[in-house]
Amino acid sequence: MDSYITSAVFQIFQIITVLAFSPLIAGFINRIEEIIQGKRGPSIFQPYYDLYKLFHKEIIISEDSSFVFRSAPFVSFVSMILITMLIPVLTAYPLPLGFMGDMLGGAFLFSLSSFFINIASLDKGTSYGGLGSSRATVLAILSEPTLILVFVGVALIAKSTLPYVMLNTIISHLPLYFSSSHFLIITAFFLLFLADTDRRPINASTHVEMSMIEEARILDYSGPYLALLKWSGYMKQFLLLVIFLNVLVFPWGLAVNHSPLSLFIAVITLIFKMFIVGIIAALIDTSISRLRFFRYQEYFAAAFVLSVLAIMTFQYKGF
Amino acid sequence: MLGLALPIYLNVTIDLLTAFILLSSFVMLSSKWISFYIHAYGIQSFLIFILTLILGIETQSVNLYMVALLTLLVRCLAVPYLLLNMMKKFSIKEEINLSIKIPASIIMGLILTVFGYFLIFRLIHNFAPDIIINSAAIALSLIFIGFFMIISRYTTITHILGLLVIENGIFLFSVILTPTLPLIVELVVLFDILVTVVAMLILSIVMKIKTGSLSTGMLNRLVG
Repeated sequence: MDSYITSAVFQIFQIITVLAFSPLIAGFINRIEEIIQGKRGPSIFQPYYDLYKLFHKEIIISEDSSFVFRSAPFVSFVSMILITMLIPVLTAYPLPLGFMGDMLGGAFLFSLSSFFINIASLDKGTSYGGLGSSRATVLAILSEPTLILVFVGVALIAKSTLPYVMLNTIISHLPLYFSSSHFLIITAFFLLFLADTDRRPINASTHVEMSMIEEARILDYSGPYLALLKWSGYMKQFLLLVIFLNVLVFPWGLAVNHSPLSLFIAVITLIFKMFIVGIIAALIDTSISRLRFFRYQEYFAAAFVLSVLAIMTFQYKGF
Repeated sequence: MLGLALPIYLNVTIDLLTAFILLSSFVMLSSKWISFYIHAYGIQSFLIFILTLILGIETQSVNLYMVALLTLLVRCLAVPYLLLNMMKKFSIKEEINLSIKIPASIIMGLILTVFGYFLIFRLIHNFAPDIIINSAAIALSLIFIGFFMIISRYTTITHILGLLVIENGIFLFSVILTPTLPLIVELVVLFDILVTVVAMLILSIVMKIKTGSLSTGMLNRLVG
């Protein structure tokens, strides 16, 4: 009974961690990018100020929009919170609601959020909304097969699609950690991470009409709705990083018992790992150029090849 | 045959190295820049050198040390140096016209790899351990990808590199399956490469002087 209550407390703390620290990571990566480009850059707390400012502004909604437009930010925000419960953010052992869904369930929730933003941007009836949602759909069509194959690869390694099982499998069986399929899966997932969080070579978050994708979808939102959407964007980046780091790359440093001290250590190590990956992501983002829209398929073909090779080499690896 | 009782760390190392060798051939398929190909080929040869060296240390065979050293000298240093030198001399940078676009050729390489795995599995799965199936399948896919590079690109330098990739595949095959091959065979193969590269470079230079380009796309006009 006692451990059940602490598990529930841990679960709540997990959600609070994601809510609280996701803008920090976004601000940190922005800051590092600016520093690499030779500027001083905004403070790493700038996303918090942005959210605070947006929450105190008024909402303007077009007369033609329906309930879809008003519900999309909430659907997006809530699905991010639901994903938080499914994945190992702070603990290496599963928390009470951890078996609510597997990694495929998480992928469905990501798609659900993206789908609602898509139909909301179509709902407004503006030309930019249609443009943004059609481009975002093309990106999703290109990236989804790779995501599914990455999950198939994880399922092959762990014999399960639950992220907790994958984490404990590669901790307990080190040759699997150093197998080529694991590294290939990591690379494929990193390419997807770069694409999904608007980094180059895809870079969907520019404000230029020629190339904007994410911005075109949420162009008509204002005030607290925009704040919710931005916050769920930060959380999406944070959650993808959590899956990348805690399930695939470096599953050490998570809390293994119910003591508050291990929880504290888990938070610190998580933020530290994210800072390191953030520096790498910022380096990549500043050192390569953006691809043309019709060359995105090359990028995603490379990710697809990596994930298929991971599955092929796993079959006959001999240990 | 090798690999009947390999320790687990060696299994992991061979698995990783062969996977990276395969990846480097995909790097060649996925780029338009010829200097990129040549560097990828150099890295591939370097990985094969490390693999040979590790197998040599494991089997305590002096022959494999010699072969590894020669691989380093010829495949990894001499051949890329010759090709890069030639590129600089004629200032070739990019492959302009590909007969198959890059995403399609990556996917094609993938299909060839899966076919290689299938073929090797059908051929040797009864008497070979899994790690041998893996490495031999990767070697066979290198051969296929080399052939594919030759037929899908037009520049003569790419043709040379395709041949070299095929040769790397054959070498990987022989090192994995019969690491106790006599040294003289490997020597012959290595000098074969060197002579082939030099001869083909001379041919390309003659072609460049006669026709003004290194592309083989126009060569069918000379017929008749």
